[in-house]
Amino acid sequence: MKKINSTLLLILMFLGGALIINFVMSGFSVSPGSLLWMKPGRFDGLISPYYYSILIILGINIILSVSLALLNGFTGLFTMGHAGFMAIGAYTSASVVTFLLPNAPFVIQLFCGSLAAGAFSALVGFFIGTSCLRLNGDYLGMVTLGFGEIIRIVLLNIDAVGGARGMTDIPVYMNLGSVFLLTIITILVIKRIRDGRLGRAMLAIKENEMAANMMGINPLSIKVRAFVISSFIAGVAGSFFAHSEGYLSTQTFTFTKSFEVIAMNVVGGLGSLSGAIVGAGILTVLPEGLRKLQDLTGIDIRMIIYALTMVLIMILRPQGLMGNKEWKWLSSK
Amino acid sequence: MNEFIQHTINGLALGSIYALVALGYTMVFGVLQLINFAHGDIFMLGSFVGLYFIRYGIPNAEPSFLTAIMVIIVAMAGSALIGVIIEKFAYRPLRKSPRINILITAIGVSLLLEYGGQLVFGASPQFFPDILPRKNIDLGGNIILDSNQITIFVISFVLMQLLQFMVFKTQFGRAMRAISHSLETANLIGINVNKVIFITFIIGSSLAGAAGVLYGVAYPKIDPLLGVLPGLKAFIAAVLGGIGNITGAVIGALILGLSETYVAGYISSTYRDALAFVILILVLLLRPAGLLGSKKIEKV
Repeated sequence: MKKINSTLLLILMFLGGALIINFVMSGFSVSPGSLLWMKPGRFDGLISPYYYSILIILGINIILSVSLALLNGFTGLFTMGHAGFMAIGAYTSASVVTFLLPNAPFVIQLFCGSLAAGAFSALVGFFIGTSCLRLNGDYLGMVTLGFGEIIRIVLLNIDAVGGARGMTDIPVYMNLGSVFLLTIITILVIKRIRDGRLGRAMLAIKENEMAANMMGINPLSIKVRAFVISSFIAGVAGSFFAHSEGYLSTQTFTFTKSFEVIAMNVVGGLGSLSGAIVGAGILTVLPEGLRKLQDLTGIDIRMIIYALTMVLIMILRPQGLMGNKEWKWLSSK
Repeated sequence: MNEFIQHTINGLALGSIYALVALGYTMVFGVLQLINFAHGDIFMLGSFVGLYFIRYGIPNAEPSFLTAIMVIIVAMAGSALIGVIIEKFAYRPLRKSPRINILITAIGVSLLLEYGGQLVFGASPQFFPDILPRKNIDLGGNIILDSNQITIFVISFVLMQLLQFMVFKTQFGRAMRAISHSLETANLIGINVNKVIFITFIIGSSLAGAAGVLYGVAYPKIDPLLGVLPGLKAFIAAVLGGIGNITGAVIGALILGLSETYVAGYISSTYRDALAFVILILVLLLRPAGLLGSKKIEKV
């Protein structure tokens, strides 16, 4: 009981934080819309739109990274198709909002959109998870990569969502405060899962599947649950992405995107929740910081940095920056 | 019917290129149990080495048989060098690490080559010149056999025969096959494992380099990301044939090349790239050992 209360308290605290962020960002306006969901008048705020959008991307990347950490880091299922789940979420939510509920109030639109995004993505995750149960290691990675690419190619061929032109005119609802709040909630949810019975079972499977099975854990069921939860969150992240960008193209969701998320996990340290956050932070902020260099050379240097950090970390510090350590507020007591 | 024969010829040519790349995947997997993700990019670099050799090494050469041989040999040497460097600096320090770490390194190296390639060669596509006089042979009934396709068939056939000889008839081949059974045991009986892995990378990468030149000949627009899809598809071909199995890789590659060409010809070219992934998923779910592979039993 005490634990639930403390989590609730944390969430309330961050809700307050989100309200304050939006209050400041919107140039001290108190209309209810600008406080939680609507895009505030961000140009009157304290920081430039450029940094504002980087912070939003950072939040979405953290959500993606911790959702992958659940699969890659905790359960030891190496998957390379996370961009596919994100794509499903993004397109589902955008379609629900623009085709099914074009006239509903935005709170309902966003709620239904994100929920449908998560649910549909989780359904696909369930399907992929159950069909891949026999595979391990790099084979699982290859199959999930295949699924991710198939999802993308199918989306590319659906003309209703824009096909190769991309999907435009998606209403923009996300602002810094809401992304911040949802990021924190996601992190806390994943932390609670990790520290609970399910998470213990996942860690046991990662260490030794056979031994876990002997201890009475059903590895198949746990693996499928990991897939479903992870793809649900990735789908929701996709939905947030759709409603913060306002534009979707299948080019965003190639397997390079999956590799980016893997790189975030790897740089921070596979198996560490704090690591996933640190990795997402570094790989989102670093390339933007090096944009000057990119202006100089005229080449998208971001991917070279991803690649180099991945290789160097693997050779010099294979356990990642955080190793197995967690920050205090994320450690399991 | 004529259309079908034409598609078959095109598919076999594409499949031969895949086969040369797939052989490298399968050989490296055989000795190291590693999916060498960077292999597709070594294939791309082979193409570029060939292009730059034509452009700056032999700027005035007429397309001829000698030119073709020279370009292919230089491209093979260049790719072999790159493959060896990658093995030495990226894979060798990780020889004892968990497989996932090596796989992530391979992905990193692959991205590094792709985007480093963009930095060096520029991101826009470049034109790959003819290295042999181009001639279309009409087989009657609208079936056309391109002289480039003949080049592809002949060169890949010769290279595959060479490889077959090397793997099954020489001392090195015997050592390589021993390592693919068990690296530790091979080490214990006095095989210089590092040397054999080194040579395996040389052979695999040089085959990819030759494939890169042939690809440039067949599809004369090359860019630094060209290795991504053919690389993945060649890997899928290797899995389809049974990874680690040399004959399997060739058969898998031919099947993949043919089915891709049929899908593009009869159904829709937008679904062509999805087909390879569907094949991959089906093979891994239904018969993970591939067509010719043998099943491994996992022991506790």
